[in-house]
Amino acid sequence: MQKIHCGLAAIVLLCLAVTTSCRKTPSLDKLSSDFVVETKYDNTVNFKEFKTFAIRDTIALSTDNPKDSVWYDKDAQSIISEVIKQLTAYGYTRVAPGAAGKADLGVQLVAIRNKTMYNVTPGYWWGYPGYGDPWYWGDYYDWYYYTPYYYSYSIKTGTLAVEIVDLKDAKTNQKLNIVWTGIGSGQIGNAQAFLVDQCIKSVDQAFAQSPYLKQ
Amino acid sequence: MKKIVLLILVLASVLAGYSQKRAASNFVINYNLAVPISSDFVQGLSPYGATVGYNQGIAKGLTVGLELGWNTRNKYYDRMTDYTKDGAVTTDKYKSLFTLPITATVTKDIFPGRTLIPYGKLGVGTLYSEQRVYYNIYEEDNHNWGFTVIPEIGVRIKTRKTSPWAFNAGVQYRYATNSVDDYHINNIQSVNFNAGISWLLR
Repeated sequence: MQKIHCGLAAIVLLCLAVTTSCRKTPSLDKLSSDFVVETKYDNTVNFKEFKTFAIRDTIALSTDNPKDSVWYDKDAQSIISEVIKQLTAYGYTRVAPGAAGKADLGVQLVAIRNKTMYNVTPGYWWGYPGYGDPWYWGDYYDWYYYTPYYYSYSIKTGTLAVEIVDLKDAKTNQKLNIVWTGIGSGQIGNAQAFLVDQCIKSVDQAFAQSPYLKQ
Repeated sequence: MKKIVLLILVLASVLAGYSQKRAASNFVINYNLAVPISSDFVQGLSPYGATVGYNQGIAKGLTVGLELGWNTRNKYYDRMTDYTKDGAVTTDKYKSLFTLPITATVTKDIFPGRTLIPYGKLGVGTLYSEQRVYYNIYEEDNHNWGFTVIPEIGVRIKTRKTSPWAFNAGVQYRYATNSVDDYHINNIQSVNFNAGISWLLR
C-alpha cells in the first residue's frame, strides 16, 4: 500500500510539473504583423500656435547598403503625400520650404531597413525549453551535440519616422526643436507593397493618436 | 532580497532541526489557480500554477515549513492605443506575468487526527516576478523581487485516520510589494486556489 501511495504521489508530481511548467510562455500565434506605432511630443508646446508647414520631398534612408541614402520613388512619394494629407486635415497649410520664416513647422521622414543575420550552429538550441537533451535519445548523459557546420537565418525590420521641427521659434530658441515624432516599426519581408502599406498605415495611426496636433 | 531568502532558509532549518524528533513532517504538492485582484497588467484566470512545500511538525497540529509556488498569467490584447503623458503606443500584444513566491510557513491544524482537518496557514517571504510584453517581433522584459505575505485557509481530507496521505483544498490571498513604474504596478495581489495532495512523512 505504501508503494501505491508513493507511486500516486510521484504521478501527480510529474503531471503537475509537465502541465504547469515553471514558466509558461504565451503561444504568440495571435500577434499581427502590423507595425507598432509610437508617438512622442513636447507637451510644453501649444501646437495651435503653428499654422504652416514645409516638408522634404524625399525620405532619408538607412539600410544595410551603404550607398542608400535617399528614398524618392513613387512609393516614397505616396508616404510623403499621406503625411501632407494628415497635416492638412488637421488644419495646417503647406508652404514651400526654404523661405526663412514662412513655415512654422518643418517635416521630414526617415526610413530604416535592417537585416539582422544570425549564424547558428545546429545544437545551439540545447537548453531551450522543448529541445531534446542528449539523454532524451538514450544513454548519452555525458555526450553533447556537435556539428562541423552552421546555418544562417535573418530577420528584416523596418522603421519609418516622421519628425516635426519647430521653425517658428527656431531663432528665438537658437535651436531646431523636434516637437513631435511618429514612428512605425516592425518585421518586414521582401514585399515592397507590404512595407509601403505599413508605412502609410503607420502615418495614419500616428496622427490619429495625436489629437493635440489639431488646429 | 538575498538576505530575506537566506533568513527564510536559516529560520526553516533551525526550526526543522529543533523539532526533528518531536512531530511528523509532511510534503505537500498542489495545483494552483490564480485570480488577479490588483494589477491592471494582466487580467483573467491563470491556470498555470503549482505549489510544493515541506512542513515539519513542532507540536501537535502545528508545523513550520518552506513553500515554493509558481504561476503564469498570459493574455492577448487586441490592437489598442496606450497613452502616456508625452505620447502614445499602438499595437496588439501578449502580456505575461510570472510569479514565484518563496515563503516560510506556519500551519495550524484545527482538528488534527481526524479525517477532515481544517487548517490555517501563514506564509511570509519573498516573491520573484517577471513581467513580459510581446508585440510584433519585439519583447520587453522586467523582473523584480518583493516582500510577500500569503495567508491561507483550507482543508485536508483523509480517507481514513491512519492514512499517510490526504487531499488538500485551500484558498490563498497573495500580497507582494513588487512594483514596476512603467507598467503602473504598485503591488501584486491575487486570490489563489490550491488543490492537491499531502504526504505524511514519519
